[in-house]
Amino acid sequence: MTIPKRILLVEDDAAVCDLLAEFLTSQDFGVVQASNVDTALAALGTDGPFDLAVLDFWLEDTTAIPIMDALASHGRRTPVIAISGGNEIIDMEAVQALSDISGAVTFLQKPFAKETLIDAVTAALHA
Amino acid sequence: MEHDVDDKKLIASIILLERFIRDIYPSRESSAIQPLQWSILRYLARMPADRCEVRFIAQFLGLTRAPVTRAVAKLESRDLVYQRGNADDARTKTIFLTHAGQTALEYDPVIDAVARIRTLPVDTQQQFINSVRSIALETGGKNSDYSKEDTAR
Repeated sequence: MTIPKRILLVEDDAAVCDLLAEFLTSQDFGVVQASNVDTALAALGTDGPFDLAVLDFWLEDTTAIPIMDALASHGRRTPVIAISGGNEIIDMEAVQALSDISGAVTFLQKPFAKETLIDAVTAALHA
Repeated sequence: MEHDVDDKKLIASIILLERFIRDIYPSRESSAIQPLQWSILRYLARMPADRCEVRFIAQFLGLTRAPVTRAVAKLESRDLVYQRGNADDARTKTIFLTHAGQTALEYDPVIDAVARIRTLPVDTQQQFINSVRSIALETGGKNSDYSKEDTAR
């Protein structure tokens, strides 16, 4: 019996978060959900380490960058998939660049197909 | 403490940064690949095929479709991309890089800029990265310059 890979999923839209969690769970991943930076950072301490993090770049009025920084500062390297549906202030080209700077291995533009997510997850876990 | 950095020094820094960016796009001739066209080539190289349509590119770059359509047409006329109609929806076309387009990306001006930054000490490179990240986050990154006619073609 193989141990399921564990994913930290951070998304501030509860409906989207539940949908993604349900899908990832159906693909035999263990998923811990968080809706903001504080709960995500707490989850790193209580539920970590994780094999992968899927992070919505925009979380309420801030970004997922503190989570990426926290993941990068841990000894174990946790790959990050950043996702975003855009923002009125910064276009997605800039968001993708900011995600790259902050250590994300992949950037997905919402909405995306489930196959796109699973391809990204598989690639990130084997990177 | 808020104004302990001299405005003159900040202005000078921006001038140098502007010169640095201008330097990596040395040619303004119409035959040269323009900044928006480079952004589109980079997008096509990185995104899955189901996202390689004008509407998605425009959304990604924060532009209307018109300048992206013109830029794609220009790239197509230079054989750097080609378009194929979608089987499910005849109104939309998927855009692909040609072999020449892939080869062109090996000469992306950004690569030249990276090579120049790489000559700096590692600490300075990291400071540069951190500074750029802070600037983008704190002041926004909306790029209206792409809508200008000279770069949209």
